Amino acid sequence: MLFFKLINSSFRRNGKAYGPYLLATSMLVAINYIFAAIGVNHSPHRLASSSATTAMINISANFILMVTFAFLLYVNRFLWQQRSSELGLYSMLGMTSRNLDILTVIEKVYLFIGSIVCGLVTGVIFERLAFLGLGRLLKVHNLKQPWIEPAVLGKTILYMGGFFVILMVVDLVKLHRLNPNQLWHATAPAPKRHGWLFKLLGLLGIVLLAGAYYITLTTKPQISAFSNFMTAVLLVVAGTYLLFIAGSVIILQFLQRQKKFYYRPRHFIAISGMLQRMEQNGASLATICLLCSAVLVALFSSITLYAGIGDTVKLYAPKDVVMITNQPVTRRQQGVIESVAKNHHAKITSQTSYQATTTQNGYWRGQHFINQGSLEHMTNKTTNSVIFVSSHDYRKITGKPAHLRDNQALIYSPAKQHTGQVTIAGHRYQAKNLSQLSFAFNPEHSIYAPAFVIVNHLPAGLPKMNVTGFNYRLKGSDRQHIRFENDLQAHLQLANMQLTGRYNIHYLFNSLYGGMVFAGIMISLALGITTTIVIYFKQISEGYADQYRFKTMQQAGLSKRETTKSIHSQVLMVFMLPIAGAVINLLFAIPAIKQIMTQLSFYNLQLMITVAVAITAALMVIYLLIYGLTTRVYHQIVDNIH
Amino acid sequence: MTLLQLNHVQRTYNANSTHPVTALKDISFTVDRGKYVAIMGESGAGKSTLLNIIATLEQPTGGQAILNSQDLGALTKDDAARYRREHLGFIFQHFNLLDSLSNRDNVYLPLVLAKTDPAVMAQRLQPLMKRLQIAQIIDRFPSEISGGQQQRVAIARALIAQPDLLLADEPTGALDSNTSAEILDLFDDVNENGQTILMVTHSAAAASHAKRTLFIKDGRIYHELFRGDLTMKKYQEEISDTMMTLTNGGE
Repeated sequence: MLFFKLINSSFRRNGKAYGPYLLATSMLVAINYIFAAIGVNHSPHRLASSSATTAMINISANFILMVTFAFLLYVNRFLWQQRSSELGLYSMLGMTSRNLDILTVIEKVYLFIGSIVCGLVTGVIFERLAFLGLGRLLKVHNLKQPWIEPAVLGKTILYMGGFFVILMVVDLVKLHRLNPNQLWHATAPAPKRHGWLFKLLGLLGIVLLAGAYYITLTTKPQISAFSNFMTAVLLVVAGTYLLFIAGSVIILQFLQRQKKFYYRPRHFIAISGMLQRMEQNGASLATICLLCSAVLVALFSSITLYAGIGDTVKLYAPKDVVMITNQPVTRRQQGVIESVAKNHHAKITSQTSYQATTTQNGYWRGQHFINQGSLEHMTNKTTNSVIFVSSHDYRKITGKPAHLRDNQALIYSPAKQHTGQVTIAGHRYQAKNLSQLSFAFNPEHSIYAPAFVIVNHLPAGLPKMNVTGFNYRLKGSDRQHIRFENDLQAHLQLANMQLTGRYNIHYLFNSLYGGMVFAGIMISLALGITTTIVIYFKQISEGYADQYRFKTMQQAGLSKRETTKSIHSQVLMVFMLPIAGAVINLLFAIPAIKQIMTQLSFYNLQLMITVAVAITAALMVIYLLIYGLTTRVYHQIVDNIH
Repeated sequence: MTLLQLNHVQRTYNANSTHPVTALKDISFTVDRGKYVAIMGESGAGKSTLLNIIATLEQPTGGQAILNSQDLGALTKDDAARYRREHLGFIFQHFNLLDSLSNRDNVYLPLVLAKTDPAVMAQRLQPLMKRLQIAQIIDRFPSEISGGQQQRVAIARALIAQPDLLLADEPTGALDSNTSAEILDLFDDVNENGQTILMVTHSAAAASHAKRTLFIKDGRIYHELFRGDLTMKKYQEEISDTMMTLTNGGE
């Protein structure tokens, strides 16, 4: 049949556009399927953090679905550019608009079937791999996964089908609003003149970005840190768009007015070309920038959290088991511990106990710690907490004397140092920094990690607690360790807050953060594919636009090598803008993320920097690779005229 | 004094294939400085190939093209580019202005490529703006002005580098007759100021403005007409007649 013949030949002719498009949609279908399939799997439900993990996977699945839809809408524009002149020609040759409708419908059905079949096959194959990966991250070994989840298969087909129907409607509406001639010659947009409003928007963009960066730089580890961060994200999104669309044009126009600078061959071509590109592509460059930023931030936070699990666990449970009781451990309790240990064939070692004040929450005003008391009294000003330990107990546990006078104190505070004259709980101390404290921990598991203050006499009037900790040796699986810890807690009749077992905590964090890393990687993958294709189509469409510019400049006396060089450097510059913006965004996000991490009892700055540098470098390499590959296609297009 | 000299120029495409196409078989003519020459012929006669060879965009496969005692066939690609911007000015049917540049910057393009001082560029533009009447539109963009105005800007771009030879490829092909007449009058004016012009066209009206017309058919010079003392109208009729004979395959 004629229609199918026409479509087939069109697919073959426009392989440069359709090939990558199909590849990208298939991969997005696959990722959507994988996520949905994991979401309905029952194995993770047995995890301690199953509700949190499942919720996270579901939120990520919805997010990726949204990304997929946005991507399809966006890329459809480029495909339309390729198709419209073809449809225009058919129309001029006498096809009715009904015929064109049929062609459009066939095209979309083809694309839909192609991406669904390839995508689901890939999805089914890689789902097992993804699931194994998830299992590894969660440190769960007995995950069960059927080969195919038919319900999810159906759901994915339904969603994608819906998306393609929307795309089809969009194309059909466009088709009916244009006459054959308009289809045939897509009109080139005229350069715009910008009034004061435009300048104002550019300035607003800068102001918004500055505001966002100010927020991230001044974020304190308060309960509001996360919402502050989200505010900053919103500001960055708006600011980046405004800056790329308006700000860049303003800067380039300023450069254009510097005659001595502008009228040099390199600058002349670069500035005018960039100006035009920014006018047309400011929004897509901003999108690329934000996508890259999102990838960086998502990977950075999830990987640092996951890598820092060991540190965090240590802060929640400095010993294998830590108990917090009002009174010292009684003889009866000690008996319970020993009998449970015996039942589980566990050997208890290095048991210690000491007395301390309960965690005092509050915030620092200069060198004054404003004490708000227990966690119930916290406000949105709360940022810190302190625990007093007597120098006697300090010596008992560490074996080292503290050598303190009554007005002196040693302060162990990994988040922020406090030395010199400090006032805490109404007492003035001459404080010295303590760089290490083996038994420091976070007894309340709160977001305000405590500073430990070693003094000769615990301040009167503050409630006290007894901290007892011990390690144990047990031959057996993680599961048996966990069972022992749970048994111990049950027999001692202690609440969750009073007894912390290291294996339990480790298991909890692994399942929680492991799920997060998994979601982070999958989202990054989806965003990465999207970004790649956006870049690719930008290169293609710019290649076609530059064809004639290339030619004219050569006629005016620019050598081929000079032209290639200047266009190359200009394309590279335009390309580097988004990634540079993304790295800047990450740099400014780190202080805020660090504060949020502090709340999750994570202080390892060095690890954070390592992760940040590693993922930035990795992204750069991938980005340049994409740039190189797509630039080759670009050159093929541009050189075609010769 | 001879500016341009073509000696038995040949151009064959796909010489090694089974179907070589010979666009130019044997072309020889000379153009003196200050002359205004039109080249006529039907589509496919080899006009564009000839122009491309003189424009250094293509190399002849046989014979010699010498401009200003420079053998154009001996130029490397990069030398050719430099030669173009120093010695040649181009005018095209579709104007070929860059839409990313304002009209002023389009005119400046060859000078910028030649690394000219901005003050000199402004100085050179001044008289051209007056002569071509583009002072009002100079700071607009090509997409904002009419076709005739775009062609004026293109002429300014071709003239600003003060080329030895102005090459025009169907300069009125995309314009209506009134605008065409205006542009052709401008060409006359430019030529009277001493500029050598070589114009390729298949419009008899356009060719009638030139002092001499060469007719090309099947890659050879078929005929040659000089205006002499004829009125433009009479000369145009003569050109039309020649074209008619040419088309009908007459002697």
